[in-house]
Amino acid sequence: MKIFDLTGKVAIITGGNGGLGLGIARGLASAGASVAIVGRNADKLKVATADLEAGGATVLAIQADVSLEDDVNRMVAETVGRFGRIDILFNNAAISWGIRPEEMTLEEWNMFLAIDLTSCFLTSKACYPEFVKAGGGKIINISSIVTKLGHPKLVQYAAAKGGMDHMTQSLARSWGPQNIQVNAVLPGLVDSEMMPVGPEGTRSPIIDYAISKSACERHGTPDDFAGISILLSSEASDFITGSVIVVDGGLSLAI
Amino acid sequence: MKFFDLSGKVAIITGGNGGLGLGIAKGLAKEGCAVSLVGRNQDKIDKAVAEMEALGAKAIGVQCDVSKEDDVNRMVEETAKQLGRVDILFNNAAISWGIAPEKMTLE
Repeated sequence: MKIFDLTGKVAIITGGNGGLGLGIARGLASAGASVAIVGRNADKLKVATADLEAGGATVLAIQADVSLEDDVNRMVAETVGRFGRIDILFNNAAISWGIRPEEMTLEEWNMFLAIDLTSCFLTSKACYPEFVKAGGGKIINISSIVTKLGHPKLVQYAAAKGGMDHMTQSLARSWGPQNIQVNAVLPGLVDSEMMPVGPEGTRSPIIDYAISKSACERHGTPDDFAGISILLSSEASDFITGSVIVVDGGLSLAI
Repeated sequence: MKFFDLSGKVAIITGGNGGLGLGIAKGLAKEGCAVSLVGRNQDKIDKAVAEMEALGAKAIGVQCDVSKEDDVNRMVEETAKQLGRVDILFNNAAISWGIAPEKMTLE
């Protein structure tokens, strides 16, 4: 459908070299967008690029750490250098693992906040002039259902993602007049490196418990995020901004 | 009401040296709570402590920048030393002013 068409559009997906980010990239590419996937791990970038190209996508792989301002500026410059414009930014890169708050050091806290939240400010700011040049833009912040629930060992992650949710609302107001829509997506359990694991890499019992309670009775896959990603990147969402959208298969309804 | 009695309790109020924080401190003190007023501005701390004492409250002031881990640890120690315990923490200290996001620096 024409309102979902992304032909001629250029999207940056941070953390697009794996997991949910790769699902987003596949979705956008299927709707016609050129995609710049960004990550720290060169091997994962290579595998993801091959995966996307095998599906017929136009891909640029950029090795960058989105918590570093110079890297972020280079990411934008490389994307514009290759594709000439930027229309869509997915702030999807993040790290997460459980630590009890009373055992967390300030260094760990700062690292989580830098990668999971400050990166979102840096990338949004760096893309802003390109969005203005293009006559508008779309920012989609991949947050987490943890911002609606709470978790004893993810205080740092919840703080960062909660910051992201509220940044979404204020940025939507900051740049609404420039025709930039800013929204957040809150995934629940998704089959990726971030899904909780138990001791020695075993599947955490919490996964089966959560699935049993979930309305859809399954966890999500990266490709479950193609639809919402295309919607929030396309003309179809021009009147959706500042929204924080739960996409968790009904997990949070029951837990 | 006994339910709301804070006699014998000790509260730390960051940013308790003015504005909303001082209002919180007064409310707690009214119910019998001893308060530790924490802030960066010593003049504001002195004035706030004097104001609390004039109301008959048990209050101490601790100068501290709550963004600094060493300051925060010293602030808790100081409160525990002077008031004997810590039961309540109000994270009230904050700064805020408007900046257009595209003009804001990382610093």
